[in-house]
Amino acid sequence: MSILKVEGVVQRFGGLVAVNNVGFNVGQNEIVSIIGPNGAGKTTLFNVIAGTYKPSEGSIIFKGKEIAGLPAATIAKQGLVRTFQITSLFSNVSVLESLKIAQHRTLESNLFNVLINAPSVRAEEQVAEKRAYEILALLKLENKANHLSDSLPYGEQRLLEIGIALAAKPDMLLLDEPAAGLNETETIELMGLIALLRDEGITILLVEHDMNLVMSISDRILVLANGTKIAEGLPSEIQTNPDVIEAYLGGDIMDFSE
Amino acid sequence: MKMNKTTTKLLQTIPVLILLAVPVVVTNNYVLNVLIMAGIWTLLASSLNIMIGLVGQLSMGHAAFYGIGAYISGLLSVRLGIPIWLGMPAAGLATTFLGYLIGKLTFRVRGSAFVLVTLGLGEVMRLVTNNWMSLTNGPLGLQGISPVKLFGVNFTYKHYYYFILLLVLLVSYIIWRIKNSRFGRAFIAMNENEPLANAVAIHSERFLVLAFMISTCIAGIAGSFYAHYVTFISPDLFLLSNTVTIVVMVIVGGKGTVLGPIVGAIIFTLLPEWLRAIDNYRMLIYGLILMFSILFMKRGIVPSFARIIKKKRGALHEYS
Repeated sequence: MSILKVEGVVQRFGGLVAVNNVGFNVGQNEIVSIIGPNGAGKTTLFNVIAGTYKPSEGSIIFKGKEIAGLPAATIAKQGLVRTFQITSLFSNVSVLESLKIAQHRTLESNLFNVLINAPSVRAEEQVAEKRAYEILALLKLENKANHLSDSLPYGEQRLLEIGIALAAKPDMLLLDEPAAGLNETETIELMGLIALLRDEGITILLVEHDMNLVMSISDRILVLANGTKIAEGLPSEIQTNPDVIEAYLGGDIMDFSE
Repeated sequence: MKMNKTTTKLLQTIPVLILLAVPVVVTNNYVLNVLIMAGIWTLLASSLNIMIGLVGQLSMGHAAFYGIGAYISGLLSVRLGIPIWLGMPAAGLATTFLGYLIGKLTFRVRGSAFVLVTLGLGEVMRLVTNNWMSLTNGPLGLQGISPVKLFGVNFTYKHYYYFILLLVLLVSYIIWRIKNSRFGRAFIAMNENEPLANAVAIHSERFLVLAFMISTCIAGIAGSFYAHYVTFISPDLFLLSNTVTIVVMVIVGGKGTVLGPIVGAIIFTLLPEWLRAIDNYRMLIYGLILMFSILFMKRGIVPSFARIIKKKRGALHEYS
C-alpha cells in the first residue's frame, strides 16, 4: 500500500519549468531515494511535497488525503516531516529543548490547563522529556543535552536535525541530503540510523548525492533530470540504466560536479 | 543540571516577601507612587517581551494598547459609572480582540507589515482621542475617573501598591508558565527558525496571533489600572515615546527572560526619578547608561549576569 502518491506534479517559476509532470509512489515503510544531476529539480520536488511551494499542477496524496498546496505546518501535522538541505536548527536553544519543541505535533494541552499547571500538563511534559532523552540516546548525544544546538560540531548538528524531525513522530520522513558534508564514518553511522528508523516503521524519502549511501539503503530509486523523471527502479537496475548514465555523464548539459 | 529545589524556592520567595513588606516600611507616598508606576511599566514591558523576546516580532504600538485599555476603562467609568472591577476585564477583552484582528491581518504577510501597522495604530489612536471631543474630551483629557474602591474601602497608595504587585506577580507567573509549555516552545521556535518550526507542525500564524493576543490583553489591563489610579488620562498616552520606553526596558533588561523586563522596567522608572536632582544632565546620564548597557551587555542585564553564573556550571541556555 502506498503512503505517498505523487501524480503529474508540475512546478513552474515564471517561464522555467523546474519540475515537469513527475509522478511516483512510495510504499508504506519503504526507503526511496531521489537522485539526479544538480539542478534536476530534486529539492524543488521536495519543497512541493512538503508544502513550501504550491504546485502549478498535479496532485499529492498522503495517507489517502490530498495535501498539494496545503501550508507546510498542516502537512507536517498529518505526519509528513522534512529536514533541510542546509543545516537548519534552533540555534540558541539547547539540544534537549530543541527535541521538546519538535514534539509539538503530539502535544495537546490547552492554554488554560497550562496556566493552572494541571496534572495532565505535567504528565505530558514528563512524557515529552522522556521521549527527548530517548531520541538523544538514539543519536548518542545524551551528554550534549544541555549544550546549545549551535555549539555542536557539524556532524552532530546534522544528526540533531534528524532527531528533531524524529521527535515530531512522523509517519514519513523527507530527508534532504542528510549526508552532505559528512565524512565516511559519519555517513556510515547515518546509514545505520536511517535503517533503524525504517525498522521503527517510518517511511523514508531521500534526496542524496552520496551514491554509496543511496545504492546500499534504498529499496527503490527515482532519477530526475531537467525536472523530468527519467528512470525508476531497484538500485541494480538504476546502475545499469543507459538513460541514467547518459544524464550523469553526457547529454546536452555536461555536469561533472558529481 | 538542576538547582537544588529548596534553593530555587527560597530564591523565588524571598524577593516576593520583600516586595510584600515594602508598604510596611515605606510610608512615603512619593516613593510608593514611583513603585506603583514601576509596577505599571513592568506589566507593559513583560507583555511586550512576549512579542520581542519570545516570538521575535517588534510591536511598535504597544502604548496604543495601553492607551486603549485606559480609555475604555476610563470612559466606562466617567460616562457610565462602571467601576474598575468591570472596566478592567472589559479593557483586557477589548485589547485582546483588537490584538486578534491586527494579528490576523498583519501576520499573514511577514516582514514589516506588523511593525508598520502597530506603529500606525498608536498615531491613529492619538489623533482620534485628540479630535473626538464629544467622547474623549480631546487634548484636555478625561477627568474624574473613579478611584478604586473595594468593599467600601477607598484605595490609598498602600492598596494600589498591593493591587499592582498582585497583577505583576500574576502576569509574571502566567508568562513563566507559558514559556515553559508547548506554547512557549512554539513561540521560541518561530523566533529561532520559522521554516523548521513549520516543518515540525507549528503553525506560525496561529501562534503569532495567540502571542499578540496575550500581549495586548496585559497591556490593556495595565492601561485600565493606570486610568483608575491616576484618575486622569490624555491622548499623550499614545505617544510613540511611551512605546520606545517599553522597548528599551525589554531590550536592556533582557528580552526573552521573565525577569529581564521586570528589571528593565524598574531601572528605567527609578532612574529618571533619581536623576531629577541633577536636572539638566538627566537625559545625558540616561543616554550614557543606555549606551553602556547596550555596548557591554548585548543580551541585556539579566541574561548577561545569568551567563556569568552559568558559565561556572558549563551549561548555557538562552530564554531562561
